[in-house]
Amino acid sequence: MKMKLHLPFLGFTLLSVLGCVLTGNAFEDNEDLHVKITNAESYTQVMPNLTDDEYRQFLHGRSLFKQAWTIPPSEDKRASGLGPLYNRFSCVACHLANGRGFAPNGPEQTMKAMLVRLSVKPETKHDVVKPHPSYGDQLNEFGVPGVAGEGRAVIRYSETLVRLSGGESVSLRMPSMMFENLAYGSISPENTLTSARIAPAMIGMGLLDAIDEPTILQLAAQQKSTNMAGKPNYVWDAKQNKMVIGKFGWKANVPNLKQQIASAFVGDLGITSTIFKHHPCTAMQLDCLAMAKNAGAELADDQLDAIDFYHRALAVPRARNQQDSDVILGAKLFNEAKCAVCHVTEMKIAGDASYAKFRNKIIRPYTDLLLHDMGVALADNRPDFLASGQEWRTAPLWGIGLAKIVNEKSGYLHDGRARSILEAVLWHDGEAAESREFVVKMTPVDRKALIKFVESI
Amino acid sequence: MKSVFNALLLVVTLFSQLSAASERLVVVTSYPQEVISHFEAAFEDAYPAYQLAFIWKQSNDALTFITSKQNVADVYWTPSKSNFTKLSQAGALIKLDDGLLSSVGSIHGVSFNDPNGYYAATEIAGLGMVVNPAEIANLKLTPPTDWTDLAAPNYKAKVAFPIPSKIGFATGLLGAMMQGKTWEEGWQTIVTVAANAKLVDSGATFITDEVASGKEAVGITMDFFAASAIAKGANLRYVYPLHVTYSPAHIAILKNASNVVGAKAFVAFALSTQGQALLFHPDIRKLPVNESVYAQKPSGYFNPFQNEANAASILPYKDEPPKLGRITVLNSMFDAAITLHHARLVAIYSQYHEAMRANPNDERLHAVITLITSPVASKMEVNDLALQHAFSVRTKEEKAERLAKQYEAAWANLANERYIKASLLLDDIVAKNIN
Repeated sequence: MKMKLHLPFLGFTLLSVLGCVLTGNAFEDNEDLHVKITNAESYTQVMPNLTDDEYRQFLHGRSLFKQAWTIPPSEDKRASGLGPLYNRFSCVACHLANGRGFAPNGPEQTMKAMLVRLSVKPETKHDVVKPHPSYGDQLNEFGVPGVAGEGRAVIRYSETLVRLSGGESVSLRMPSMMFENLAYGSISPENTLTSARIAPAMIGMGLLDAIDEPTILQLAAQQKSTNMAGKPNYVWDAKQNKMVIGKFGWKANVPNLKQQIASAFVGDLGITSTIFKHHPCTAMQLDCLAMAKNAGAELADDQLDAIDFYHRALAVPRARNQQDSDVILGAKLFNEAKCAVCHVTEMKIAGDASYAKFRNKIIRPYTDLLLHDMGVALADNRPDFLASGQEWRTAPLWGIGLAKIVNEKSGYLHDGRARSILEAVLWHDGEAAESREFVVKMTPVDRKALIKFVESI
Repeated sequence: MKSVFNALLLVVTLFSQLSAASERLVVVTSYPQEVISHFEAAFEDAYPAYQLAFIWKQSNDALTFITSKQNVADVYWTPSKSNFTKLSQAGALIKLDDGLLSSVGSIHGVSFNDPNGYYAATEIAGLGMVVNPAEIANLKLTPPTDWTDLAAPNYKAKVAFPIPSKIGFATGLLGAMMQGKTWEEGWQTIVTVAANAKLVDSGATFITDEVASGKEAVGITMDFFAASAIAKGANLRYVYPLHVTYSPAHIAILKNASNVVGAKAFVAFALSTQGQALLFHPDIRKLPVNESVYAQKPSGYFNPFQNEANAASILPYKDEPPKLGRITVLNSMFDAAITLHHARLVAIYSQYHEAMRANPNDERLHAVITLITSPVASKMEVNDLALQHAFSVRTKEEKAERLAKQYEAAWANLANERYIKASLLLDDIVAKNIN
């Protein structure tokens, strides 16, 4: 498989990558978006130069993000509303220190920063996601007293050794999933689709939210005639009541940051808001339905706004070690391996972005926010809006080298199967098969440099 | 590579209902998520037969929940001594095995276990001062060693002081600051430190943020907030005062537990060497109660068992020990006398120091400091059990709320009168100094 790239596009990515390296400071122009940090709190820092009101809003949002929500009734009404069905009782449970989630390492471990999406197989190619009739669109392990938790997903792995040039080898683990303690009947493999997904890191979300549709469409147009032709996902915006380009979620299946937060609140914590006013109890779940009656918006709008702002104002760690010779070599290899085609180095935020602080900023998230076919081995075979079972949104890479410092258990890829960045690279297939092969055939020195570069951005 | 992927594809997602592989064990707690997550993961690894489910409840809610028909919990594990006392008195707990209790050490002769054996201490945390050494150096301040150091004039506007009625961890702060002092000395310390401070009513780790950012040089907070921030790279230092007040957390098995065997396993784990050593994790940084575990402590970790400087600090108090009802009264008294008038207190204290510098021998200055630092209620009033009860149940009983409000209004008025008098007196002193 040969890759054809438009020369102007290749030139753009090359210049972007090399430009970062040559300046020695990837974020000179963005001093108020980034912080220089390399410790366990790397993902929790506030962007510099907020106003006093913004800083207070940031702290309010942070408190809510860390807050444990409680099952009603409670004396503290603003922390009440957990359930009737839920996965965890705080945001930070899955996003420890705002870091990435992780998968259980075997059947004896429960999911602590991961969830399982459920749906029935679409009848036609154009069907949207249809939740499972008994369990809804997400398996909720826990229920409040009086409501049975739905059950537990159990992960097992089979390991396969991948040999790389230069005598190195890497073991990749392929997950398989089973269910136990199902409270609302069996889940039929014939017509049920599942997708296990770990929590993403929280940094840079407001900046990605500020990327406008023309920018994403332009990237798709640039890729159109290549072997890495990404496409935008068009998803339902619950506030605007229309289809828009999806930017969040592993399949770009959520349109914007605020809806992503509201969706996590109702799906993971069982807390309703003005965006998602109803608990996702199914017709089978009578206790859940009885308890969910008249819940109203359990997360007040001012609370949702505060959490939304908290995410927007989280600083992205500055790139590190940009003068290191390995990092410079790795940047060159990143480009030669065509990683930068999808993990697009630079994006510019439009001048009319709603948050003035972000206007006209050039950011380096290493994503195109587009869907790409990643091959059958990574496929969950669960379509989500326009995303097929093999398609995934290009994951942003900024700050990824700090993931294990933030949380030593951090996993990679949508289901946390990859335990290292190299494993994640080796799982790439489909449109990225050529890039993976490039990495497989590299010398160990080059591979080390490539990983060092990815860890530096 | 292609063959690798073909091989991997042979493994498919399987669907089945397995037999119940693990037993559910329900724990009620008010710990932050970080503590819960580390214990959850470690316990499930150590005891795979059990799957933990946590129900998160603040202390007031927890007591209501545990004593209600809604309760499904097996274990109660939280820092709330009063709840354990009440549950024990209500016969809602199962007596713990002596073997479990014996691992908990005593600090300078004081045991944190229930003397009747119904609940065991699992950790302790101390109240003290988080310091920004760079800011202390910048401002040429003498690093504090005790609460009273924060009342020095050069600490003006450089102290973050949590409002005890607003911030959970500071609930017992006033009693802690009064330790080793008489009623009058203790209240004077509180007022003069507050007069130098920015009062903070936000929660979470806000005090540590304030100090780490350099907005304040010192903040009053629990040791674990600061220790955790330090462990994660913050350039801070933590100072325990001369008289340390430790807040214990406890664990108990509920009488109506449906999984008593699992509950015993969790209690044993929390008190085990492994469970106690988990407290050293940078996300937690609490103080273990099993002395032997300190052999594994990270470098520089505080060991209360070897805190010779504070050997006599836990007990006895020169004043009354901080009974729970008294804490509520004290915190209301603080709000009425200090929080409500804080801007004026700061101005008067500042003016007082200016006057002191100008004419330290003016005897009227003594009257000024007496006016602003005299307690607005006597020790006898605050120790009145009926009053303490009224303040404790004010949110639930209308009559108690009325009484509490009457007291608060009286304290606020008295403080107001004294501030006015002190202010007039200071104006007079300053005017005379000018003339």
